[in-house]
Amino acid sequence: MQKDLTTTKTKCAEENIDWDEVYTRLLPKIFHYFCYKVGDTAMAEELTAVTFEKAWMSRRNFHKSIGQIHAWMFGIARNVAVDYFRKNKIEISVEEMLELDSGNSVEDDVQSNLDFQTIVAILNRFSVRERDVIAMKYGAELSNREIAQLTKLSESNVGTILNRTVKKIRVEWEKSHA
Amino acid sequence: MHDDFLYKNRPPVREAFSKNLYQRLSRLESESLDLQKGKTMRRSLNRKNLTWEYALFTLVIATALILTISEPVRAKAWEWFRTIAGINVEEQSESPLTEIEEKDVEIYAVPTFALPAALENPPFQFDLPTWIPEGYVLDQNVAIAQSGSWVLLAWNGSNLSEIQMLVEREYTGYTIPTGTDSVEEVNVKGLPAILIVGSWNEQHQWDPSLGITLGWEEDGHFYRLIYAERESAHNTVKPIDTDRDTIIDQLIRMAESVQ
Repeated sequence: MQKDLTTTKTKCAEENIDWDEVYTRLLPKIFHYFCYKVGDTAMAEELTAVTFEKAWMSRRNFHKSIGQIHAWMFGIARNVAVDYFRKNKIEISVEEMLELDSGNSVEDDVQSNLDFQTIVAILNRFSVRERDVIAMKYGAELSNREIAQLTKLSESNVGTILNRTVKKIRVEWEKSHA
Repeated sequence: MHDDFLYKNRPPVREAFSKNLYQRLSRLESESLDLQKGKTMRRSLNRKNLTWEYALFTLVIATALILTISEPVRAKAWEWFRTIAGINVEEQSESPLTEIEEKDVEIYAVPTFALPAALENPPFQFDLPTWIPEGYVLDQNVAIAQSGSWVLLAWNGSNLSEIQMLVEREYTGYTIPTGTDSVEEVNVKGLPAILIVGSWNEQHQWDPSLGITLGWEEDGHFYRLIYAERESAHNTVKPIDTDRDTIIDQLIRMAESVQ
């Protein structure tokens, strides 16, 4: 990959942020966050692109005093997700999507994608808060403390929600693979 | 926790997507540099802008409160629900913030633009006052909602007073929460307007000395002039020192001059 983002020397000098490193490190995490949020990889790509464009255009507003770069980026990602759901009024129904998918040739999809759609379909039965926490943990790979800061929940509460939700998902997941 | 499957089954990032986005960001970089050479749209983070950001923060919080006030809260204070000058208000003793603190209220960064660019290309056509009180200077930053549904300008006075003008594309019928006995009807250009004296303080109580708001509808838009005075330190809103009647007269005169 070319190194345009850094070589343009437009990075915030006093912060000395390597935007190439940020891009490489955070792209998969933000993409996976949206995958869990919307359950659709094409839409997740679109929202990931919007997030990076917003962050890139306002990168001079980032100061280390407001937190770590990844927390700042995920703040933007969360706002992008909120905008998306507001505009679309309702969340994507993964169950409907699975029904649509079932009409296509299964051979066209890789197994991992089907497995992920199964997870998302299971997740779709949980509350918005539980799904959000799962997306932040297993998509964005945030720590419990970071999730607590973003959601205004206590760290122990986040841990409890994660533990309980993962157990439920796992039960359903195992049933689907029985 | 046996949660490996939640990591292992995530879809991979497509290489083509990663490369395309990277290139798009690189192009944005070039366009951004071109823009800076032409007209300066980006503001610097100086002390004055911190005041502006605080004002925006206050506005966003207030807007969030207005738009998210819950049905039970409405029901509880139904006897205080009134419509003045076509604007719904709910007079209550305690800020609705206490009711919604448990809710997930999102705070957004509001885009700001240089005044000339904003006036040249507004999200909707609105008018400015042709008269402003002596000593006030129009702030060179304008906040515009990402949805394009409202615009916020501000005039700064010499004594850390400020008058914000919030123009919404239209009044959508939402309810403005205010303190008890804080609202009255006045006239702007011979038509009814709403005057709100006071604002919610940090303890969620209504403080009649914290600000004065004049609101009216004109050409389908909802205009509001909001007067406040701030501390020199921390930019917090402080009780108004200036004579209240004088401020109200000035706000009405300012509103009358919008054309």
